[in-house]
Amino acid sequence: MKAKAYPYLFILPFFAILAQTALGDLGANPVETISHFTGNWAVFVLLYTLALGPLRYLLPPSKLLSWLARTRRAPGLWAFFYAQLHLLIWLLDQILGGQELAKNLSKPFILWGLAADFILLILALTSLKALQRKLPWKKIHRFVWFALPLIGFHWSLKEEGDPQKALLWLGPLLLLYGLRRLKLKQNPLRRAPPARNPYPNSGRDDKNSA
Amino acid sequence: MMKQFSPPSWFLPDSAATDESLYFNRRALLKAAGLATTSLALPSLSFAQPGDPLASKTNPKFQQLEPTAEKLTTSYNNFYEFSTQKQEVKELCAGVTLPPWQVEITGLAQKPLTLDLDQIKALGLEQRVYRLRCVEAWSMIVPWDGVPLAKLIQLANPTSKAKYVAFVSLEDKKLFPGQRTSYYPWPYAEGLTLPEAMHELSFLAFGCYGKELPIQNGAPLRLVVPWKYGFKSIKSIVRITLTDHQPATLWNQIQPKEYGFYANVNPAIDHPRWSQSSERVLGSWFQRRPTELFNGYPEVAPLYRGLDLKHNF
Repeated sequence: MKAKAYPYLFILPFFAILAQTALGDLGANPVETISHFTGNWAVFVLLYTLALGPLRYLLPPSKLLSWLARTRRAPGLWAFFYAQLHLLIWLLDQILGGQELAKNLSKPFILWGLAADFILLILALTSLKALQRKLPWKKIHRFVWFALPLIGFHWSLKEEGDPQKALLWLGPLLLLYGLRRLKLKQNPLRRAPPARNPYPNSGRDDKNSA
Repeated sequence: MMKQFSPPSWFLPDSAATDESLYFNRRALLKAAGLATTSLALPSLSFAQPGDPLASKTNPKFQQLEPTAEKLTTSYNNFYEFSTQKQEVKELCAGVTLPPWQVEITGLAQKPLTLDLDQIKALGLEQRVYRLRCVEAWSMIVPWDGVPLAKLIQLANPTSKAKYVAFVSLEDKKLFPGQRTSYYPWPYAEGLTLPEAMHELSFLAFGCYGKELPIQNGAPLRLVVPWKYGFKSIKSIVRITLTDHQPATLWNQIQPKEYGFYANVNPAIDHPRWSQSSERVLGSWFQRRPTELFNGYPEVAPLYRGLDLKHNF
């Protein structure tokens, strides 16, 4: 197997929850277990994907890091995959459980989550290779940073308004992002180690690639 | 002249020596002696452990519901003193030993009391099967073993000024790791109006399924108020105070818009995050049942005559 295929490892949590389901080991509230599991993994994988960018600027140049950052499209899609499972189990629960879908959809708790998911959806669709060449995808993909506070609100509400858990996970990433911006401002000439641009006509504009 | 051998004053014959087997086992001997003195000094500290059998009389009035599997109700616990993850609590409780326990009944009472658990149990244990509806829109059915709360309150004899009953859980950061988080105003506190507390349904449980309460279910004693959302049924109670004002409660302090003081089960009043019109049957995937007003205990309705339930949620 080629190193390039490493993001397939992100399917392992999915297999783990499948196995747990098959073994009837999801506990007293299987829907909730799956919901928390998939929500957590969507965030974990997204954080990994997003941390690569700033780390590449902040850490000493490294071939591995620059390669991981260049190929982060696949892990990004895995984050999207877990986010969709998270949404799917909620929808299934609403529909199969005969719940008041319209009413529940209007709750801010759900709306924050849906808004974050909508951003991920746009990013996933525009990451199709054919579209990447036509669109300024790098600019579009900066929208992912807007998803973070939305996820933070959604998560904090789930934790009874306690933002500590969300901050513990999302905070360091925002810090990395801020540090990178600061560094670029102080020394605009410092760029990431030269990387081969895999998509030459993709709208990747070096003057604005902060 | 030969010097006669005369033993020195500290000489002891072999026969006076400690027996070899006793000498080699001296530690066991000391340990036994130590245990003997502690159990002599603290004779009243032998108390029931979680899971011990608990004999109670079946109350035929509350036997209509089919209990949820014990395995489920004792492994899915909202007990933030241990963890905010319901499935984690049971594991965290394993190996935990409760300290000696007494319950203080104080405040606007003519006869304030501090009672041992056995003294409260002596009021007469009975078993009642109640549905517990969690504010998180799931429900379970538990056979509780305990005493009617009214019996205990009558013992303390509330004064005419008493209007509310405040309950407080144990505060112990060593025992309850969750109490180290600063977000919650520990200790856990709950409250009822005096008429609510005196209602026949209000129950103090020492056990469930005919056994002493597991720690994760609120050992050694907890409140059960079946027509209110589960969070009102405070666990591990150490103090009950009769007051003339509505007591502050933990969840109401954290999220007043989500958790009211009354917290009566009511399908018509949404939680800000979800509809309360139906509830998941614990243990199932998608099976739900319609939520009933007062959780299917309409006999409490007279308590709220003239009260706007929407405003006083």
